[in-house]
Amino acid sequence: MIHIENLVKRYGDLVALDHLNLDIREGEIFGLLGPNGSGKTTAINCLLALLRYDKGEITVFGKQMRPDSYDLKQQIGVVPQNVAVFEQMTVYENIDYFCGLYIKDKQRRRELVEEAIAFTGLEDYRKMLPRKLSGGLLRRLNIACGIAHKPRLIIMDEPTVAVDPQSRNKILEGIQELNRQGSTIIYTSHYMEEVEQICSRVVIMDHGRSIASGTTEELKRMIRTAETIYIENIALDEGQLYTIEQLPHVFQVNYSNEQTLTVKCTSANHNLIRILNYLQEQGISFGRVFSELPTLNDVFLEITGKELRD
Amino acid sequence: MGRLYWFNLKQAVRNKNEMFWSLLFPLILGTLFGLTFGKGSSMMEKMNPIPVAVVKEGNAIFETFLHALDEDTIALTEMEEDEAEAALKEGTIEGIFYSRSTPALSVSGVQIQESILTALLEGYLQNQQMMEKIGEKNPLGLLKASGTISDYRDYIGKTGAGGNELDDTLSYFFALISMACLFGAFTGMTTAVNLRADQSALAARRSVAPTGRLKLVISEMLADFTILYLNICVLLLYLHFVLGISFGDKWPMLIPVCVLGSMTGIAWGIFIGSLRIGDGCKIGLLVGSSLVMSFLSGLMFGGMKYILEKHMPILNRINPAALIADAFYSISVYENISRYRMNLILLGVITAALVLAGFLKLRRERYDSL
Repeated sequence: MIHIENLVKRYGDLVALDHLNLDIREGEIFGLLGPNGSGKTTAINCLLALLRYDKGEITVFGKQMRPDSYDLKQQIGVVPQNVAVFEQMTVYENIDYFCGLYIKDKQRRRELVEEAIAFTGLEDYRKMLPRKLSGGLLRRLNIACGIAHKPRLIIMDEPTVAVDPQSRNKILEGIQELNRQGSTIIYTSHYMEEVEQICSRVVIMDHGRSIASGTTEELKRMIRTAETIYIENIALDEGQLYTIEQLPHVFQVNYSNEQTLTVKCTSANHNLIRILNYLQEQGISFGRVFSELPTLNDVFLEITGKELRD
Repeated sequence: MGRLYWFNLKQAVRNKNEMFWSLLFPLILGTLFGLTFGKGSSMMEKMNPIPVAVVKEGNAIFETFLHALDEDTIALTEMEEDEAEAALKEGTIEGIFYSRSTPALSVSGVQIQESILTALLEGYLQNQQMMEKIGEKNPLGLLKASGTISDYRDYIGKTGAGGNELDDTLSYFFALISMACLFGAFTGMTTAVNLRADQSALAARRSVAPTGRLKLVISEMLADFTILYLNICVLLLYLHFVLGISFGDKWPMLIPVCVLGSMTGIAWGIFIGSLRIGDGCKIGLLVGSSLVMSFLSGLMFGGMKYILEKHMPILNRINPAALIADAFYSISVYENISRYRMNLILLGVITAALVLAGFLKLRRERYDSL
C-alpha cells in the first residue's frame, strides 16, 4: 500500500531521515515507534507531500505522492499531532468542514459527520466550541475531523499526547475499531505500551533510521532479554551477587541502591525458580518478587543503548 | 466553493478579536472624534478667505493675479516686508507673497491654509510665461487668465466648485476610514497563517485534503473581503447618520474606494501573514504598520498629509491609508475627479502587487520545513 525507499531529508547539517525504508501493507495497524526527534513526524510529512525531501521515493496506493495527487489524498485521513481545528466553529461545524473537503454530496456528508460524532462519543458536545472541551474531548474532535470521510488509509501522529488514561483507552479502542472496519492505520507514538497494544507491525526509528521492524513478538525475539526478574528489599554481599550472575541463562545483574536486585535472563524455563532456590539455600530474606517479559523499550535499549524516552 | 466561502464567512464573523479591530475599534474612534469635533458644527463651517500679505517688489503681473483672487480665496493686504513678517509672526496673516520677478512665498506653518497658498504660487509659477505674455499683449485678459489658472481654488472646497465646503476635521474621519480598511489586515493575516502548512497545524491539515489550493485561497479572500467591506459600510453609515458627517452628493463614488481599500487591507494582512516570522512579530508589524500609515494619512494630526505633500510627496502616493483618505477627500471637495481617479489607480496598483505577492507565497504546497 505504501512504499518508502531510501528517503533522505536534511535540515541543513541535520539528517532528519537517513535512507529510511518502509513498506506498509493494506489492513494493518502499522506503528512508527521512536523517541522525540527520531524522524517519525518528518517521515509522515514527506509521505503526505507536505515536506520537500532530498532523496528517495514514496508511492501510495502504487502511485507517486505529489501535492496535487488529489485522487490519493481523497483516500487518506490525517490526525495531526497538534489539535488542528477552527476555534470559532462548533464541534459539528468543524467535522462537517473537514469532511466537506473530501465529500461533496451534502446528504452523504451529513450521515458521515453523524457517524464520526457517534464514533468518537461527541454526541453531547456537537454545539460546543473547541475551547470549551477538555483535553481528551479535544483529541477526540481532532480524530473525528480526520476520519469522518471514512478513508482507506488513516495516518495518526501521536494522537494521545497529553490525554488522560480514560480518554486514551477510548481512543485506542476506536483506532482498533477503525481498523476492523477496513482502514489501514499508520500510528506514530513514543508510547511503547500503546504501540504494543494496538499495532500489528512496528518499525522502531532512531536518528531518522529504521533500526528494527516486525511484529512486537518478532522484535522481542530479536533481543537477548527474555525475562527480567525484580527482587525487592534484599541484602546481598559481593559473593552472593557473583553467584547469581553465574546462574544458567542469567546474563546481566543489577543491584541498585543495595535494595532491589534486577536479573535479566535469556529465554529459558524456570529462571525465577532457579534464583529463588538459590536465595532459599543461602537463607537470604527478600521482599516482593516479580517477573516481566521484555517490552519494546527493552528492544530499543538493547539496540541503541538508551531508553526509548530519553 | 460556496460552502467554503460560507464557512469562512461564519468563522470570520465569530472571530471577536478581528471583528473588534475591523469594526468596533473604528466605531469607537469615530465616536471619540465626533465628540471631540462636535456633531456637524465645525465640520461644515464655511472657509473664510485666507489672510495674506503681499510685499511689492515690482512684479505687476503677479500682483494682478493676487488681486484677482482677493476676497474670494485670499484676503490680501499690501505691507512692507518688516511689517508683513511681524504680522506673520503674530499670526494675523497666514503667509507673505513676495512680488518679485520670480514670486516667492513665506508661511509660518503647514496647515491647510499654507498648503493652499503654496498651491496658488505653484500654479502661478507653472503658468508664469503664459501670464507674462497675456500681460504684455492684453493686460485686461489677465483677470480672466488668473481665474483660469486658479481653478484649483476648488482645492479649498469653496461652494460652487463641487457644491461642497471644506472642513479641516473631515480629514480625521477620512483617515479613520483608511485605518479601518487597513485593520482588515488582521483578517488577512489569519487567513494567510491558516493557509500555509509551515505556519499552522490547521493549514497543514487543510493542505493534505483533496481540495485545490486556489479554491481555498479564493474562498478565504472573498469571505475576508465581504466582512471587511460590510464593516466599512457600517462605519460609513454610522459616520453619516449618527455623527452627521457629510460625504457630499457624490456618495456612489465612495463604493470603489471602499472596495479597493478593503482589498488593500486584506492583501496587506495576507502579505504580512505569509512572512516566516513569529506570530508576535506579525501582529506587532501589522499594528505598527497600520498605525504608522494611518498617522501619515492624518489620523492623529490632520496636517500630516500636507507636511508630507510638501517635503516627501512620494509617501502620500505609496501609503494606502493616505490614498484612501485622499480619495474620500477628493469626493467631498473636488468637482474634478482626476485626483480621485489617480488615487484609485495607485491604490489598485498597490493592492494588485500585494495580492500577487501574497498569493505567490500562499500557492506553495511543499515546504522545506514545517
